[in-house]
Amino acid sequence: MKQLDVTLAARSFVEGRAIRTTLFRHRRLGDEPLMLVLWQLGAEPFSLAAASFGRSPRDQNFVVAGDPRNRDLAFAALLKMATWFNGHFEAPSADREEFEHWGQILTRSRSAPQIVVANGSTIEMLGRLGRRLAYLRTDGPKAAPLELVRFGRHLLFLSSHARMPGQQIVIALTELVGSNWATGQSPEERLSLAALNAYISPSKSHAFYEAMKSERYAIGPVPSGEDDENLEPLVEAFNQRRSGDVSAKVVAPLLKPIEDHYRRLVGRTWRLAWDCYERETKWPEAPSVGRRWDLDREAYTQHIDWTMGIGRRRTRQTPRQAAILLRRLEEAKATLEAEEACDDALRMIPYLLDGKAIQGRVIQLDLNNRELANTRMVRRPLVVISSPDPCLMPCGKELWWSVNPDGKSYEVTQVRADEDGGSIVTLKLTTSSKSTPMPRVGQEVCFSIHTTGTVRFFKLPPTEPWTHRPEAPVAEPVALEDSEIRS
Amino acid sequence: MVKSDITNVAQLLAEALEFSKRAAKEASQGRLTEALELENQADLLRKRARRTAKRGGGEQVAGREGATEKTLSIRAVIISALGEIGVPVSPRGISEYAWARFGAEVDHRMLPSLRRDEWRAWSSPRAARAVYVVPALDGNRFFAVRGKVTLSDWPLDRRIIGPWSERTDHLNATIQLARQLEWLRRVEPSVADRLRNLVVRYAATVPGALDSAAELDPRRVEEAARAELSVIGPKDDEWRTEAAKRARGFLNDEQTFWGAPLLYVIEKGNAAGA
Amino acid sequence: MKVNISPDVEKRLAEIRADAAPRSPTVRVLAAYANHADCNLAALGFAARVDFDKLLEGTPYQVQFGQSPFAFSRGIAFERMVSARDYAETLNLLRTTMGFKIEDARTQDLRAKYQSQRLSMGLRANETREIIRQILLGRPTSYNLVGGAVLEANIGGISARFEADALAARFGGPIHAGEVKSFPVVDGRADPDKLSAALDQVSIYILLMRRLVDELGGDPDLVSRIALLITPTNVGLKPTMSQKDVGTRVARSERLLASVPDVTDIARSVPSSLTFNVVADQRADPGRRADELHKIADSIGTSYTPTCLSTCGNAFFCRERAFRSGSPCLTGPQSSRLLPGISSLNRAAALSGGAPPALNEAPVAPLLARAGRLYDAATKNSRFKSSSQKVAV
Repeated sequence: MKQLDVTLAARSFVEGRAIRTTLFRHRRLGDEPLMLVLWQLGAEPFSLAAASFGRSPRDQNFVVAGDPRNRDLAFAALLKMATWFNGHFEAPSADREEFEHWGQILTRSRSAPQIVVANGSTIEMLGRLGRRLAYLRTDGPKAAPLELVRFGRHLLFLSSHARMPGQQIVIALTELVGSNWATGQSPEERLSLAALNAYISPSKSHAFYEAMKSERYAIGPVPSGEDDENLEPLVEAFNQRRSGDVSAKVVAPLLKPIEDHYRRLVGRTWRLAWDCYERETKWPEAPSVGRRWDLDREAYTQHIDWTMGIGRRRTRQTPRQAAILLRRLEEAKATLEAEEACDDALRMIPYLLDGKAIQGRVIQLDLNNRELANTRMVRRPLVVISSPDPCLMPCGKELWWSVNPDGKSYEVTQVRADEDGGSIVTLKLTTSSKSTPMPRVGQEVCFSIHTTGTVRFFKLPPTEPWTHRPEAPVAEPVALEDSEIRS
Repeated sequence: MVKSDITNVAQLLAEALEFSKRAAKEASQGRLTEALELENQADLLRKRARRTAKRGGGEQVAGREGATEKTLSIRAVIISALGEIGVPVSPRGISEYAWARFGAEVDHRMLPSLRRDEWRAWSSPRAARAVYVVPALDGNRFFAVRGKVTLSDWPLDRRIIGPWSERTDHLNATIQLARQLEWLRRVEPSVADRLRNLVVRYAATVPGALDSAAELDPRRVEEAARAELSVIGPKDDEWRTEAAKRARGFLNDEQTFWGAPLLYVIEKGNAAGA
Repeated sequence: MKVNISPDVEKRLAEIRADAAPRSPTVRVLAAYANHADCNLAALGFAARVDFDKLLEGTPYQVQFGQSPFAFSRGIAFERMVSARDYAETLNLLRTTMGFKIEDARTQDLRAKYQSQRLSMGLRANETREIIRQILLGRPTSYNLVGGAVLEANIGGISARFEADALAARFGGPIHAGEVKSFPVVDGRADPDKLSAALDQVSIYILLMRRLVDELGGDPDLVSRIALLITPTNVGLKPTMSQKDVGTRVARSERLLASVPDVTDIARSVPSSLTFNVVADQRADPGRRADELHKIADSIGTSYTPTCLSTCGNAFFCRERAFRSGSPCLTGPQSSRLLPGISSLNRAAALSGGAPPALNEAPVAPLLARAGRLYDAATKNSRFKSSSQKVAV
C-alpha cells in the first residue's frame, strides 16, 4: 500500500464508488477465454462438487459430482470437464510459428489458451486437482482414464505458471479487477469478487452498503456453511437412493436436486465473472503486453511438448530448481513493474512520489555537448527538464526515458531547486550514438529508474553445493489415492 | 465340527440352562410372567445351539439377514458379542462387531440406558438373569468406567482396566476376531466377508499383522498380536491380579459389579492426592 | 487450581453479561482474543464471557461463521478414526514416527472413560494432573498416551479448562502435546492458515503443561516444544503424524496469557450502568439494540481492523462505525499508517485535492496533495473512459 493507493482509497470512500488506477489494461484479454467456475465440498480440498465451464456467457456447461467424496463419482464429473477442457486447451498448440532465440530457430504456438477464474483460491484448487489427477496410475485394476491424467498435468502447469508475474494464461478476476480499481475497502474485503464488483458497478446508494450485501454470498470454490447445510440432506438422500451404485445410468436421474442447488450458486458466480471480464476488455491494451504474451506462448508450447512427451515433474523442487525459479520470478517482477510504469502514466505515479522518477517539460537541449572519456572527447547530449516537483535524486543516478526504457541510460548531472518548489534537472545521455531517440524542447517527459534492457543471465553450477543436497534423492510423486474409499 | 463350534454350542446350552433354572425358580414363587420371559430367552438360545450343531457351525444371524421368527433381542446380541470378543469393549466396538458378525444394528448410544436397566434388574429382588452387562472398573478407584462394557460372569481382574489393559484387550480382541474370521470363512463365507473389514481395522495397528500386498491372513494376524502380547501381556496380567486383590479388599458385592461411587472418589480429595 | 474472583466482581460481570449468550474461554476464543488484544470491547466481552458471535443475532450485523456440515462430519469422522479402539491408530503412529517402544503401550482414553458426565472436565483435569505427576516420578506404570487430557488455566482471573486431544510420553522421554485436525497434509505441506491456527492451539497446551509440571515440582523443559499434529494424508482419511517446533509460538502464547487484562480491573473500570442487556435482547427493535451497543462502544472504545471480520462477531457493527466516521482503519492498518495525523478519509481526500492542511496534518499533506495532483493531471490528459465508466476525479 502506498501513498497513491491510500489517496485513491480515500477518494473512493468519499465518492462512494471505485476509482480507476490504470489508463490501460496490462493483460491480454482474449475474446474466447476458458472460463472456469469451481465449487468444492466444505473442508474437502480435493473434491470438485460442481463446475461450470465455457468460452462465452451463453456457452455454460455444467457438471455436478453428486457426492465428490466418492472417487468414482468425483472422477466421472472431472472426466466430463477434462474432456471439454483438454480439447480447447490443447488446440492452439497445433498452429505454430518460428522465432529466433539466441541464434537458434525455435517454434512456438501462434496463440495460447487463456483460463479465467474468479479468484486466487480457484487457482489453488486447480493446483490441488492437478496434483490429484496428474499422477494417477493409468494401468492396473483402478486405472484412471488418460484424459484425466492429461488434464491434471495441464492444471499443474496452470497453477505453477500463475505465479509468474505478468503472466496472462491464468487470470484471477479478483487480481485483475483489483489491480485496476481502487476502493475504500481493506485488502481482505477485496478478495471477494462480488464485494469488489459492487464498488465498480454504478449504483444509487454508497458502494459500502452494496458491498455489504454482496459479500454475504460465497463466490466459490469454498462454500458457505449455510449453503452446505442446505446441501447436506440432498447428498444424504442421493446416497441412499443410489445405494452404493456409481453407474451413470443409476446416478444421473438422481442428481437433479443437487444440480438445482449448485446451479444457483455457480450461476451467480458465472454471471459475475463474465461481467467483470467483459468490463475490463473495454480498456485499451498496454504496449508491453505483446512481449509478455510471447513469453506466455513459449511457456505454453514447452508445457504441451513436454506433457505430450510424458514428462514427470517432482512435487517438491530441488534447491537448485528453487533458486533458479526464485531468480526468474524476481526478474519477471522487476520487468513487469518497469513495463507497466513506462506504459501507463498512472502506474508511474508511485515512483514519482517515491523519488524514483521525475517528470516535467524539456526546457533545454544540448545535442553537441562533449566531454572527455578516457583519451578522446565524446558526444554526450544534455537534456534539461523543468519539473513542478522537488527532486531528491543524487548526481550520478542512472535513469531511463520512459518512452525508451530498453535504450541507453541518462545520468543526473545537476539538480537545482526553483522558486516555486519545483526543480531544474540536467540529464546526460550516456552514449554518443546518433540513433538514440531524444526528446524535443517543450515536450513533457518522464525519466525513471525503470529499464527493460536485456536481463543478465547467471549460471548456477550444475550440482548443488553439498550443504544443499538432500540426503536421499527426492522421491517421485505418489498418487494421492489410497485404499480409503468412503461412501 | 471345530472345537470352537462345540464350545459355542456348549456355551449356548449352558446359558439356556441358567435361564431355565431361573425360570423355574420364578414359577415356583408364582411369578409366571417373569418365568415365561426367562424361558423365552432360554428357548432362543437353544434354538441357536441346535442350528449351530446342525449346520456344523453356520450360525443363524439376527437382524437383516436370515431373520428367524423371533429375532434375538438387542440385549442378547450385546451379550453374544461380548461373549465372543471376550474382553472389555467400547459401546462403539460392540456396535461394529454386532453388525459385522450378526448383521444386527445396535445403536451404541443406547448402552447408557441399557446399563441403567441392567442395574435396576440386578438390584430388584424379583428378576434374576444369568449374566448382566456391567461396566468395566477403573484400576485405581474402581469406579465404573463409561467407555467400556463387560459381562458380569467374567472374573474381576478381567473387568478392571489398568495401564496396559487398553492395549492388551485390543490385542486379545484382535486375536478373537481373527479366529472368528478363519472359522466363518469355512462355514459362512458371506458373514466372513462382512467381518473381514473389521478385522483389518483391528489388525491395522498391530505391527506385522497385515501384509499390504497379500490378502488378509488370520493366522498371521493372530501371530503378530501374540508377539506384541508376549511383551506387555504379563505386565498387564500381574497388574490386574494385584488390582483385583486390592478391590476385593474394599468393595462390597454390588460394587464389584457396578463400581465404587464416583462421589466417593471426589470426596477423597482430587485424584492428585494419590 | 481455583483463583477467586470476589463475589461482587462475579456479580458485576453477570450483570454486564445479562441474558447475552455466554461463552467460556476455549482455545479458539483465546486465539481470537489474541487478535484483538488492544480492543476494549473485545476485552470486556472476554471478561464477561459474552459470546459476540451470537450477540447481534436478529440484527443486520449478525455474522455467519457457520461451519459446513461436511467439514464438521469430516472432522468427526477423522477424530473418531484416530481415537477408535483406545487411540490404537495414534499409538501406532507414535511407534512408527516417534520411536515409541512396544512396551510403551500404556494408554488411557479420558474422554471415553468419563464421557459426558457432569463434572467430567474437572475429573479429567484431576486425572491429567495425576498422570503427569506419575510421569514425572518415573513410575513404570505411568501412561504413554492419554486421549482428552484436560489442563486448567487462570485467564485474567477466570478459571478455564482446555482439552488437548493427545498427551504422549515415551517412558523416560519428554512429554508431548498433540492435536487431531482433519485438514490434509499433502507432500509434506498443509493449508498454511489452518496449520498455523492448529499449531497456535497446541502451543497453548504446551504452555499449560509446562506450568503444571512446574507446579508439581518438575522441570518445565520436560514438556517438549515439538508439537504433534495428527492429520489425514493425501486424499482420504489415513492418518499421519507431523512434528513441528513451536518454541516461538509458545513464547507468544505466554505473552498473550500474560497480557490478558484482569477481569476484576475490567469489571471495576466500566461504567456501573453498562450492560449488554438490551443489545442481546432478540425481542427488542434491532435499531435500538444497535444504538445500545454504540453507547457501550462510545464509552469504552473499540479498535477495529479488517482482520476482525474473520474472528469477531461484532465486526460488521464495528466496521460500520468506522465507515460512518470515515476512520482510516476502515481500509486497514497499512493505510492508517500512511495517514498519521489525518483524522478521516474525508480529510485525506480533501487534502489530495489541495485543501489547506491543519497543523498536525502538515507532515503528510504535501504527499497527498502531490499524489492527487499527479493523478488528476494524468487522467485529464488522456481519453480516460471506457465505454461504460466515467472518470472519477
